Amino acid sequence: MSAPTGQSLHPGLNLGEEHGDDHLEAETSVFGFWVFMMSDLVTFGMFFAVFATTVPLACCPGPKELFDFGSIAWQTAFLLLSSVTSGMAVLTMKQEHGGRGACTKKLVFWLLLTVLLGCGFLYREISDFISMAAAGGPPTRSGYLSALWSLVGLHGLHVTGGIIWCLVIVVGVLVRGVDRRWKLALLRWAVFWHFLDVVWIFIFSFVFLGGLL
Amino acid sequence: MFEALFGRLTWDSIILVQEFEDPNLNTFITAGAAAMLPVGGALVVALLFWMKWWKPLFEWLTSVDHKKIGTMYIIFAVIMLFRGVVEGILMRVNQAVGLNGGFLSSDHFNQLFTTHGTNMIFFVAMPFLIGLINIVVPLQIGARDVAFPKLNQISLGLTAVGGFLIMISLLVGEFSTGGWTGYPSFTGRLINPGVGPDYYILSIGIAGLGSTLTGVNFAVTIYKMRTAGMSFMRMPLFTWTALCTSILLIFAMPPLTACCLMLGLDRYLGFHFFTNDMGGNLMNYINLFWMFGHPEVYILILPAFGVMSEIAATFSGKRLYGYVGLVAATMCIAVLSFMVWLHHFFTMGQSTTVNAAFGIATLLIAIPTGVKIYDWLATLWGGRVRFTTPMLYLCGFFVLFAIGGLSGVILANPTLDYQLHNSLFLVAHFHNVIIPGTLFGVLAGIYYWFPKIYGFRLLDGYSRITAFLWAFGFILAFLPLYQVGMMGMTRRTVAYENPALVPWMVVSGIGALFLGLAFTFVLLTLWRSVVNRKKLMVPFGDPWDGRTLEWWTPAPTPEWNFAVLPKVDGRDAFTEAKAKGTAYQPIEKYEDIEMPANTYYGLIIAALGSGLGFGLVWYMWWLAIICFLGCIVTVITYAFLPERKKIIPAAEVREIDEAWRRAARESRGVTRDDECNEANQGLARPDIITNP
Amino acid sequence: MKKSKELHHYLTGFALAAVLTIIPFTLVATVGGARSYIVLVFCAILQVIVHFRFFLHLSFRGQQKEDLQLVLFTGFILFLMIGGTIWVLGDLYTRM
Repeated sequence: MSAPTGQSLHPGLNLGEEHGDDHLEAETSVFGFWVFMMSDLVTFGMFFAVFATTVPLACCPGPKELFDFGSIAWQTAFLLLSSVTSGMAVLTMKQEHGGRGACTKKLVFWLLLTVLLGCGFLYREISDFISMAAAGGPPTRSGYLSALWSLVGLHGLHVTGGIIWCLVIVVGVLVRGVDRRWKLALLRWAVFWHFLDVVWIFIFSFVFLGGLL
Repeated sequence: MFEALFGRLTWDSIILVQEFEDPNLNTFITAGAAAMLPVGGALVVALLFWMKWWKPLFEWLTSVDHKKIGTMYIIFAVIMLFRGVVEGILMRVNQAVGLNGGFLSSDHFNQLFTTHGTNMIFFVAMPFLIGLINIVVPLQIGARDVAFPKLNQISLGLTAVGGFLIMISLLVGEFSTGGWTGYPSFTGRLINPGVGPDYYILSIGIAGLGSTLTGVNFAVTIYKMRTAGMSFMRMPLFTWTALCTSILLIFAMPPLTACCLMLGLDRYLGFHFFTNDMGGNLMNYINLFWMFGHPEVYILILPAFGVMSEIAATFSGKRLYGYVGLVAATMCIAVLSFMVWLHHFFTMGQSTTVNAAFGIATLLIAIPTGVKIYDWLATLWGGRVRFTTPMLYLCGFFVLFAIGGLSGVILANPTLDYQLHNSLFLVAHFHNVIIPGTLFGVLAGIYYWFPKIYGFRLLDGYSRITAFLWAFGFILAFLPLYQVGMMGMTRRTVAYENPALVPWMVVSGIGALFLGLAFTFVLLTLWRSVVNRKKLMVPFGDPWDGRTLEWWTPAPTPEWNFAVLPKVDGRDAFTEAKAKGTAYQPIEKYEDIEMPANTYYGLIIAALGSGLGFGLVWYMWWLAIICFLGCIVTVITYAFLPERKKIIPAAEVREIDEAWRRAARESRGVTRDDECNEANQGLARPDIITNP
Repeated sequence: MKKSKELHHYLTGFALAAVLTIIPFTLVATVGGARSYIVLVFCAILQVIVHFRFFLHLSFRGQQKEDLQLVLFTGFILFLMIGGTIWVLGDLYTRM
């Protein structure tokens, strides 16, 4: 981001000077959320650590029997695209809502598109879980499966939370307009959503693709 | 129908019913303790009605003021300390008469050491320290409040939920018997399907979330809300230790959240994280738990070190020696604390390479701690040392904590640890660092900062007696345990067979009684000080000739802390201002001050969280689901409610502040000779300054 | 113009991330084997950096430096924790 030095106050896209005090207020709010994301990252890290040290048992289905390559590819595509659409949403808010609020239709469009992609991701993930269970790989079958389901499941729960949060923001900007509160909420949500994609990179690389190698 | 409503809760779950149906000494003791809950609760409610204190109570419970929240943390900690001390006394007295079996059943004893540890760490030590940090840090950095006041209130609420769960387990059901560490597969579903481990997981899991949020809050506060001119290297040491503690909270609590979640999944859904079969591995739990557990003990000690820094400087009338070294040592301790966790399980079968690596790392951590102790000693050297109560705690700390630290260095050696692990030597070590370290730091900090917040000092005589009782009680209760541990006595055992241990156990039991007396004196000191507060008033706000910004406000400190946020241009800015005579000069311009309004947010989350925890423990799924959804609805609702703020008009601020400054300019103040008598109104007259 | 520059930033990030995703997927689908694993690791780390740089706007300048330092510190802690876990549990595994 080629913002001149001193104008970027916090991680993620900054509102910039046209947004006046909103830009200054965002510093503490978004930085605080960023710090919280670090702790969340460590929680995920712990589930990764346990996953990494649990080996599939000979008796029970393992990665090669359970993972659906195509489905994982779709999930990855959905999530990556949704990262871009979420970025578009924040960009729209920054460029068109400085000063007096403007039409919120474009912003809502990008947000709903992100929700749609997120739902697509979840749909495939839940289908995968169901077929894994049907194929004899429920989480109660082995330590490896417990670790797999909980790691991927934890991520899925976070995605669900992010979708609900996004919908709340959509209602918020429609009902209350794009005021400071909802701008800051959107900035924080966007950081969250990007984080989910970052964690997914590790999941699809080490859990799924790594398991299939 | 009953099962759906009450889950696995039955009449027999209530201890009072058990005592009625099958009375024995153990149920009697537990029932007696449990009865204190409804009786105490009823007394409190009666008191509230009698004194018409409902409105002030709700004013406090809905407050987002860091000073009030900090006070509530400390009150909570004192109540839980009462339970913790009683549990400790029960155990020590049982072992004093414990040759071939004491008066407690093994199940009761096991619950006692579990609740004692869990309670003391999560619901006494942490709330004490977080309470002090809450009260002091915003004042020390020249801010009006923390970065996220509502979140602060929520953290308190979540901690209270954990406290609620561990307390209600006295009355309904039972607590875990797996120690504060709760290792599976003992705490797994197969061996312990009862409510105990579920109470354990939920109480520390939920409280842990609150602590993580506190860490985030204070890290952001210290990073972003320091007053003009206060660079990092001008912050007081207590703030530095608070920052490092916050970093530890942010990074060390997640492993606990993770392993509680995993154990919960094992117990509730039949997962195989830590089971003995089907690919489970209990070492994963132990590894994760101690990855939390080691930084946790540094969370417990760093703020106490911060208090010691403040006290060493203030009560020698001298600048803190080696500021940069102390900051560097604090940061080293914080980072190193993430590299040593394996020393808590040297004996679990790792190769010597792994053990040796972690052993060496553990030895290294002693170095920055040593640096700190030498720096404090050097601060005292050449100063005009005043043996006030905090200084007594510091001196006690120097001698006693050093012993504890050294015993830690002994345990850091894997070879020696193989002999001493899980013996009473270990128990002696950690009490030796927690009591003279954390507890002394907390008590010294409370004595030190109490006048700032409440406007009157604590009684000097009573405080000194309290300090001596804690030190004496500690020495009698815990130093013998080193010997007994080396003689081979195992920890966490209700009885023992070696008669040679008896004299040591008796001494230890007497020491425990002295610790109980010391706790009583804490309450007594508080009570007598409140009764005599008119003679102890320090309205000018600087009773100790303090050096840092928190002393630059009247006492009790107004809600907004500073009428005008100060600008600093060095460390110990207040001392410099006093030396130059500009401390109480009039200010020209006052502005309206905006403060966050009271809110029910934290209270609602606390209530719902308690319901969620209780419902999950007893399998009352309807309760758990309603409370969980309730939390989500609450969060969403508050996102839509307008943000309310209070505006304090400039005129009101001006009136209070000008009166204070004028009175300070017109008064003479006292020298340090009159520090502990009635003449001290909280204004410091320039004294012999040895090294400003 | 700043507006289009910001947009290009996102699109560049997307393109890079897409490439860094397609490579490991293709490798696993076709070649497989231990060497693919190393490429996998590389692509993952690079893609994370792409996300941090282009989507989360971290850089070495100004305030962003402090935010970056926080990420690096977290990465260091994660390395200690995850690496430590793998070392310890691995060591125990070989001795069982």
